[in-house]
Amino acid sequence: MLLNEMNPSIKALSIVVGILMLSFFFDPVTPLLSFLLTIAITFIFGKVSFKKWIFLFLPFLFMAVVYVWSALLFPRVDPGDHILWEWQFITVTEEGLERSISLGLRVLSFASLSLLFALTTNPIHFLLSLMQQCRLSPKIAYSIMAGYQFLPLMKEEMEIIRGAHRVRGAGRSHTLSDKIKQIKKYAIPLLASGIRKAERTAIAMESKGFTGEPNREFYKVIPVTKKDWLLSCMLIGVVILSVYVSFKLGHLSLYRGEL
Amino acid sequence: MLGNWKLREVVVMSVLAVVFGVIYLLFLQLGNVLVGMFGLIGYDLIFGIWFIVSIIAAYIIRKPGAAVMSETIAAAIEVMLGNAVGPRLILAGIIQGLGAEAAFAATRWKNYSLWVLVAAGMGSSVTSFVWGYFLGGFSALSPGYVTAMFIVRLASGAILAGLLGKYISDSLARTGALNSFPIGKEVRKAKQNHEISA
Amino acid sequence: MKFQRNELLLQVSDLLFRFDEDQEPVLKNISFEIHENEAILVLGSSGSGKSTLAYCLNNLYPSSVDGIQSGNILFQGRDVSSFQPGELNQRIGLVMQDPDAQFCMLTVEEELAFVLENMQTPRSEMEARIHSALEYVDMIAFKHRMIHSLSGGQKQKLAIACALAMEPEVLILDEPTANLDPASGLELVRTLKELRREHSFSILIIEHNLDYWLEMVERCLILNSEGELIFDGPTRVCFTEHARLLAQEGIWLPRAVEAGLKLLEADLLNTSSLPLTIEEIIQSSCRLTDTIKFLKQDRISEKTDSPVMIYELNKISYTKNHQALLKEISLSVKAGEFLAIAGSNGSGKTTLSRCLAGLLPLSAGEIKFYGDELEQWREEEKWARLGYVFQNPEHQFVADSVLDEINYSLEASIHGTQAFEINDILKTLRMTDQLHNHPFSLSQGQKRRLSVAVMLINGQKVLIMDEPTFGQDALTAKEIMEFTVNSVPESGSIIMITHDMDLIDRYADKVMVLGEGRMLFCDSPSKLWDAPEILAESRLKLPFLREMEKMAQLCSEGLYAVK
Ligand SMILES: Nc1ncnc2c1ncn2[C@@H]1O[C@H](COP(=O)(O)OP(=O)(O)OP(=O)(O)O)[C@@H](O)[C@H]1O
Ligand SMILES: Nc1ncnc2c1ncn2[C@@H]1O[C@H](COP(=O)(O)OP(=O)(O)OP(=O)(O)O)[C@@H](O)[C@H]1O
Ligand SMILES: [Mg+2]
Ligand SMILES: [Mg+2]
Repeated sequence: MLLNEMNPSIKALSIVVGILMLSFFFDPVTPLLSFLLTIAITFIFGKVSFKKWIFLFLPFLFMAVVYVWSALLFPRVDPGDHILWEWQFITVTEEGLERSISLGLRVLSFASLSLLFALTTNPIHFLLSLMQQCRLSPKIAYSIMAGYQFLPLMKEEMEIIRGAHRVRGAGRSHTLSDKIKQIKKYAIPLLASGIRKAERTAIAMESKGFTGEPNREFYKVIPVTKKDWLLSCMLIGVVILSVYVSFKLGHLSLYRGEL
Repeated sequence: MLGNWKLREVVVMSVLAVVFGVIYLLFLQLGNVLVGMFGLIGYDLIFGIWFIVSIIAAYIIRKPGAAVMSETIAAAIEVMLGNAVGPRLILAGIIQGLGAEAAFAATRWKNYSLWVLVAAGMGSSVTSFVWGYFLGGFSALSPGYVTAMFIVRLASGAILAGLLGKYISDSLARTGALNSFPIGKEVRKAKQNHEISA
Repeated sequence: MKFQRNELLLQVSDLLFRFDEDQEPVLKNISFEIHENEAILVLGSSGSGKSTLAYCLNNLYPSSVDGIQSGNILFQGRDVSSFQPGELNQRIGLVMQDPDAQFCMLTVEEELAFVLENMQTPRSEMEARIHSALEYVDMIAFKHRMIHSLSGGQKQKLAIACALAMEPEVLILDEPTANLDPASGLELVRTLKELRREHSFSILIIEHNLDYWLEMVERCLILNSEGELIFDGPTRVCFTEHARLLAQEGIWLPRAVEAGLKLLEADLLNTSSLPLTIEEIIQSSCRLTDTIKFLKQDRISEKTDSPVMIYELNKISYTKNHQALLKEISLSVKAGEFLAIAGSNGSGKTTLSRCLAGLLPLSAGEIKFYGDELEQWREEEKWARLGYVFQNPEHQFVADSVLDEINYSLEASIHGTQAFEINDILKTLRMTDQLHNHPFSLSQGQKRRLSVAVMLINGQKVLIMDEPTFGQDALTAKEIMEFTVNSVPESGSIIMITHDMDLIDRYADKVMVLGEGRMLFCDSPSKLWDAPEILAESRLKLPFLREMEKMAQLCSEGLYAVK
């Protein structure tokens, strides 16, 4: 039962539902629990390299810290809050501290669910699945694929444009304003050649008989099986369980979006 | 929605979305640096860049749906490239795109002047902020700070999406790459008039 | 000989096409017909509108470029624009000219699957059909490769496989052999012949390398440089009666016809009709030895033995994605030397040339350029001496119009503007009409010409050129070579990658043969022609003159009888 083999559309849906459910609550316990449970699931049921996970996770950790910090510096102060600590214009209240920690953990819990998706999903299979299960129009899906296959090309294209400028005898840039000009000199041709190639690719797709017809016979079928629904229940179950435990511990509170 | 779109237009839109999807990812790094320096409002300074593809795609292709779809695809590409924000980013993309699309819809997709493009950038700012408020839990922040964030984001949407988007599209049109699109014809006509008057 | 005509497939009448309201039409008053199971060759100088015609037949133009078209094109009696989208494209298969611009998927397998999916092929059959399509072009080993990592020739083969997988009723091939090594070219012709025997389909070939196709085609169409159809008739008539006209238009002739023309002029043949094949030349030659000596006389080989070393390569290797693409190559190039690099598709020629230009970092070994290590050179100084022509002409361009492109070179040029007048350059390129067009909107041949020209007017001493003459008409190919040879000084050197054996025979002092990243041979061309095992291994063939010589020898020894 590997997450890597789970149907990508169902996986995406479960995760979006999970995140939306989480966003209705605002307390430290719910996100902390679901964060820990999601990590456990990621490594038990998915084939994910730990190094890669950490690498992608670090920016989120940083972001969470920033959230906590911003919420501490610029807190919402409600009347009746208990002041813990005061220094110059900074006031830390008990409620404020809890809120900012909730905010940070909320970021981490969203991140863990999202990482689970990002690290166990093959992008092409995701697109195929969107076409096969979610009735995404092949016209769009294959255009995205055509765009996606430009990416490795674009890296090369960048090198080639650099090479061409070098070969054609353009000097190196040294000053900052030169460098900005250089960015424009590369960026616009890169985009322009991208657009020209896109037009030609469209012609190529048409010449191969592509019409965007919704009923297609697929070479690679992305199936939906019972397992997918089981995994989906598990992912959403994690959120429900966290909410339940938090409720039992008496921490659960709803997110009130009031200003 | 794609009924009267030519395949050529769809592919060009996708390619734009892909290119900007990558750029969006890069700006996330810049955003993190800014956030480190200025706190949460750091993101809002450059938030407009994350709407730019809506404006460029709509301005070039000039068909209903260009703004929403391009932004959505750009988000999808980010997800496919392994942006850790994951599938909910696609939702965010749709919401941002809808903000821009609303501005174009208000002119019935007829007017693509500078002001409409700027309004579209600001439209994205509004919808994205509402969404961020809900999901990000901004209510934990002081109302003054939230208001400041909103104003900065509006300005960023107007400048980095609206103005910069127009500037990039016009530069592109001047290379002749957009000759088979309405914007290319506009530029060529302007050039000819210029030559005649000169 | 067939006399009855098969059923009419395509009917073109009064076709006129222009890209833009205020431009001259690219095609004018074209009328012709294609019947079932016919094989037709389309000839025309570069920029005459051959590719444009191919797109029109398939109804990809005018809609996808917003062009303006008048006249009729009927497929089986129905106007091409009245077909359901996609239907026509499956029945009229097209292999486009630029191998870099025809794929939309990531891997070889996915691309072929995409084609089959479009045709609603039942899933159970797909696997087998992908396999057989790859088998036709000998690319089975590449099934799971990323398309962008294929070499130019490999991409071209994949494009052909895609078209064959559609099993079309008419197959249009736009210069399918331009980037193929000689053996692959021959194999392609053989495969097509076999396929046509099994399935019988019509085929329309746009091509500069005529020799491959002569035995297959019955009919020729000729477009002149104005985009008008000036000939439509049997191949033999085309080449025997109109050879001079073709030569004037700058169109390639089959090599035997070209040799025949020269021989006729020198009065060395005992007939007045032009020969089409080597056999016919041998048959009608008065004195064979004289004939061959005469033909050989325009070979260029004046070797100056200079002590100055331009390049010294010491066991260089290049590895990408854990694959060794170049293995321990050692080589030296002296001043005044013309080095040709040959080898099969994917043998690493382009990779080597990029290493030579310092565009790719070596994994091992070292390259010395004028005695100093290449990496130590300052960029500006290196590029003031060294010119590089990319295999894909589009890679060369940095500006938005032909004019800007040339100006850019003139500004960077070390001789300054005096050496070349912009109008002369344009006239030589035959592109005065395209002055303000974007380099990307030129025809493939025009792109190639421009990309070589912008490098040549820079005036570097050492030139590395990756297939500079592919896709060129006869006149331009000749001009490019002459221009190149003349603009590189005695003290400089030319390093050229090519699949054209005649060019090597005529110009090169030294030829290096690559095979799977290894150097298989490096010596004078004449030694290569005497080494059949290396030719076979590296999928090369003998140049025309050598082949004729060999045949003549066999004849005189009575080992080979001319019918
Ligand atoms: N990024 C890459 N990863 C893996 N293999 C690659 C990559 N780029 C090129 N190759 C392979 O390296 C080999 C050499 O490629 P190269 O382009 O040098 O061939 P070539 O001799 O120029 O062929 P052609 O005559 O077709 O142009 C090919 O087999 C190609 O598939
Ligand atoms: N998209 C375009 N926009 C404007 N002009 C074009 C476009 N494509 C081609 N042309 C012009 O139309 C003419 C015919 O081009 P085409 O590609 O059909 O030539 P060709 O006969 O195939 O030449 P080659 O042998 O070099 O491939 C050329 O002069 C070219 O510059
Ligand atoms: Mg052509
Ligand atoms: Mg090559």
